Amino acid sequence: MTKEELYRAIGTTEEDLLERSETRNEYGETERETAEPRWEDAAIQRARGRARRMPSVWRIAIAACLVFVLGVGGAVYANDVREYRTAMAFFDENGLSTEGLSRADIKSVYRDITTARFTNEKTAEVILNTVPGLEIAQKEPTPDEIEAIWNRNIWAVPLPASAGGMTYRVEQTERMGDQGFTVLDKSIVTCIKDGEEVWTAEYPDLLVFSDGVVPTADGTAVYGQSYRWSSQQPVIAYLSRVGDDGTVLWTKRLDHGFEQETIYGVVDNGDGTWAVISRGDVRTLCLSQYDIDGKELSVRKTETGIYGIWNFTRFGDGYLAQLGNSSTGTTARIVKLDREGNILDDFSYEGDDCFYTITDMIEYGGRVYLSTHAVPKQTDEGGRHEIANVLDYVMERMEESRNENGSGYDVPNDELTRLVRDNYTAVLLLVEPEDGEPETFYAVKGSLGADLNVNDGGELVWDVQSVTSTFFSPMTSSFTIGGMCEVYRYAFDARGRLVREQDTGETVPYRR
Amino acid sequence: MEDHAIVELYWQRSERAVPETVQKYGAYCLAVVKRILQNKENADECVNDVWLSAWNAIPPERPALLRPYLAKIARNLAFDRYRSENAEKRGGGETALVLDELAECLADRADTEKAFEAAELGRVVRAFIRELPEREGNVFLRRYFFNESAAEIARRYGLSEANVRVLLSRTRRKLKARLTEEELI
Repeated sequence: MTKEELYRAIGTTEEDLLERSETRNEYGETERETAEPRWEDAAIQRARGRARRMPSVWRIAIAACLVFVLGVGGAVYANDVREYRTAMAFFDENGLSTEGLSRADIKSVYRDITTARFTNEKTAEVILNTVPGLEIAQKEPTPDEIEAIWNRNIWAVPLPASAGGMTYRVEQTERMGDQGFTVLDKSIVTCIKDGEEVWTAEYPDLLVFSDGVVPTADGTAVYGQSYRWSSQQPVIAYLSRVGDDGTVLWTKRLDHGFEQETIYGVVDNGDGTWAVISRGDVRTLCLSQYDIDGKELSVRKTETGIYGIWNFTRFGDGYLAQLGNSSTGTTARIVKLDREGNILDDFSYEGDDCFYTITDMIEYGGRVYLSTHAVPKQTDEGGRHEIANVLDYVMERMEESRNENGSGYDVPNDELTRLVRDNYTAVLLLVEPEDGEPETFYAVKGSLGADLNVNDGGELVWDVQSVTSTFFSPMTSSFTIGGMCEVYRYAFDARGRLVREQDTGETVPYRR
Repeated sequence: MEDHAIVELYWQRSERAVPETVQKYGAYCLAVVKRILQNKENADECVNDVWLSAWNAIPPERPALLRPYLAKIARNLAFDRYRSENAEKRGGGETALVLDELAECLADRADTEKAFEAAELGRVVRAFIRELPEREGNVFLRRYFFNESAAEIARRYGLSEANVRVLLSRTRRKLKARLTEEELI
């Protein structure tokens, strides 16, 4: 065994122990608490011996003074410890390094950031050393610049899940666990209509997925899994039915003989039964049917390999499921299943000269629509199967410029935007129940296919993200291209005719 | 954003998953990586590789605790890079010191026969760390998982540096005894 192997073995430590080590404990104080009483006992005994010989009025006066002195001193010490702990927790939470900082520095940097002053020179040092991705040219950044960098840490609020006329919000609350770190307390599902809460359902110790809420003709299907704080624990899938008033009618544990099972989708069969698609022990696709009382009617397990189930929808008398694995670049593999869960067909959608990535799937008017984006087949993927050609072009230009001028070349953002727009086409594919082969239904150049929905008017709505700006960062090795897209919305009627095109005014980021 | 929500974004293959992770844990992962790699450009690149690895791993993974999950990815990637860059030379910095300290736990023979697979070693080490008293376990992990210096650990846990060194030395001896007992060295 080598020391490197031992170092790697330590790297397999379970996550709960790593998380516990992040929690700040003043072990030094614990030691004082255990050590000092022995010293105090003797001192107190000596004091008591003297006190017994004192008149009671003096005893009371001395006791009062001691209480005052110890009280004030203790309060100051306690406040100091509390602020230091809070500051250290803040440093931890935000990944700030304490290297080279004294206890006083740590507290002052904490105060400087949380009061948004950004005037302490140590603050600039700490932030510039630990917030990645930004460089400042000046030697001494201004407080405004430091604040701008820091404000990248403002967290976004997640978009709520939505379906039909209802909006569903899924939240989790946490509590301090016995392990010494926070664990899941419960999941809360809230149904909202017209901005008003219609009902709320709670699931203690159960992790409900944000897309794990599906309205059906027989109430709402909710799914998720058991909460685990270590990767060594099993994953148990749960399915639940919520009544129209928010009452949890039943919660059922799926028991298909796997150590780890995860539900990926639930669809209403329209006859008082639900189809549930899940994956067991990473490799097995599992389709099970349930009646509205939660009784399992059938289950079929098929080993398909290591794939996530990215989309699932009804298709004729059966279902279509998209299997995906981004590490192998499998982004458009579709399996056709019958009602019992037997795989009838299995194909990857790929054009002669382009790759497709399916982003959403919906059944509408007896047919299935797939929202995708297509990119030309790349000459040299190198793990970047969508933008390898763009990167090659950029690198070549930089190399040429270096050879000709002796200096690097910054690709202008508008040129890069044009390249990226030429690379991507949003494509809406249509699948007829008879054959299952997708056909191009609608295409939008320079864009990415996004969500598919049916609006309140019964129209099929397809969101398309049009690339409007792009930047390139040679500083990074992985995500080198990013920018913004404007969202356009296309509405189709039941016969498949385009009835409306709308610029929503929304913008979304993209990154490759 | 809550970790559960971020993991959900990965599962939805949402473009927002990575920016949200970067915002919440970018600085944290950079801190983990920088304790292994001394070079800023390497560390920046390595952190970006962490996001790509997380994107490729989730799904099918659904990490229950996102921060330590990312820390493990970051540590592995940084160590791989450290190994490749220091293959021909003696490395400097905290990682070389950490490795030399860990060598104490091993037998003196340079070419000890590999009796067990790495998985077996991992199992024994995990069990050893889990059985340690909380304070010893935490101090050990801060040093040998996160590569923190004795001064940083002392500040983190309100201990003196000398106390941290004594704890680490004692734990290393225990680990050596355990590895010997399990016939791994």
